[in-house]
Amino acid sequence: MTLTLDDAYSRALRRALVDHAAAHGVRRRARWRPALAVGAATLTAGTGLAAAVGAFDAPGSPLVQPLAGTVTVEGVGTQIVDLGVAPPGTTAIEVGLTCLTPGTFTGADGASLSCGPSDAGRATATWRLPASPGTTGTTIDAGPGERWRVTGAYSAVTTTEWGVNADGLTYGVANGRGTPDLLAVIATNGADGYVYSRDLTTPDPAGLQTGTFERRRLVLPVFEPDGKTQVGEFNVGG
Amino acid sequence: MTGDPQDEAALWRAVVGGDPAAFGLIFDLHKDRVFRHAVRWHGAGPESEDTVAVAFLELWRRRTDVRLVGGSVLPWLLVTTTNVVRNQARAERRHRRLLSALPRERAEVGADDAALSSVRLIDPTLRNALARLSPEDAALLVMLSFEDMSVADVAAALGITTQAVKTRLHRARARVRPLLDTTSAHDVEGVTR
Repeated sequence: MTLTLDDAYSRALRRALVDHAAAHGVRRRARWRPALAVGAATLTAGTGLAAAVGAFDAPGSPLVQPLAGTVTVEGVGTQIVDLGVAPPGTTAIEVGLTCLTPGTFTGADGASLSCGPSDAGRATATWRLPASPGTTGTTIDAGPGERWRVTGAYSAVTTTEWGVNADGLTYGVANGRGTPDLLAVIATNGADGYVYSRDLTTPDPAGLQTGTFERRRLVLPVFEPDGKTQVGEFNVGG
Repeated sequence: MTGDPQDEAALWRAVVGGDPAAFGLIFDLHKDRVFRHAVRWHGAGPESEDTVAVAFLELWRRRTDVRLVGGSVLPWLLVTTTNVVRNQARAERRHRRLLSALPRERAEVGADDAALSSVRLIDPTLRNALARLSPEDAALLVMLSFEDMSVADVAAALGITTQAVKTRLHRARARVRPLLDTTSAHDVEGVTR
């Protein structure tokens, strides 16, 4: 018997956290260009392991190809959103949800958007739902009288190949296939580049291939894809 | 959702990019483990539930600073939970609005005794002793003694070297030992992996 968080509290907290994240997160206007959107976020964040991923449009990023036009549907309460039949090659739906009245609006995967009176018509959540050819749409769950607007577009998401430099080292962003030898980051000076991924995860200064520990902060050189030409620095922790 | 580190690392990338749905999935993965850690300090009451809430709010707030250990945010999250407990009042003030919206009608969490007995508690004597340590030393002592984390994982979660963890552990044990009775002294001793 394992002790677990109470179900009712857990559900309420989950919803509150997801809403909080939606309200205090990065607004991504162009969800079908996620690598660029994440880059903007990490650039302002400055440092952190986070900046290592999806930092710019580097090899290994997801490539999102729109397969059909964007369909806009307005609805009230819980409703099926008819987006038409997904064409061959569909792997995802790019969803944008705007609340038109106060309420809590939940997508097919459990993601939800809660809106107060001042959010109506303004707060928008965007995300990607998995889908397959032949899908006819998605659903929105909302209370009676709660109005919403959804934009949906079928897309095919593929992952581009990592690059390989003259020394045979892979470079790009981490993805479902794993982590390349050189991981894309944005340096503290704003330059796009790569750090040696093994040096990001070592807790022991003696094991570092490049970079130094300065007090609690790991300072790594950021290179061109060749892994030799330095363009800046990348800090972890501290 | 499995506990596959690859999946979690991918989810975490989405969280850092600002994806609320991915954050919900990270919550699903670790909420119970964080709750059990909070229960060590507070027992199975509403205070432990609030600790979980604040720990995840801190995870979101500081998402660009989080260190993944073995592809997981859990070690960082547990260390943060310990820090939240130590500064519970201040942490709750920061997030008062969200906490006040969560269900309060239950007087007791209602965990059954069998489940509760599976969690090793941090007794008040030890808690007082830990309060005299720096946040980092208290966290590493608790992670190693109660959460069965390895020295390497604690080092990675705190962003310090394994040697520094061992040195601090030795020092932390020496500082709290005189303040403890036999039972709680036993809790903080152990093999250092």
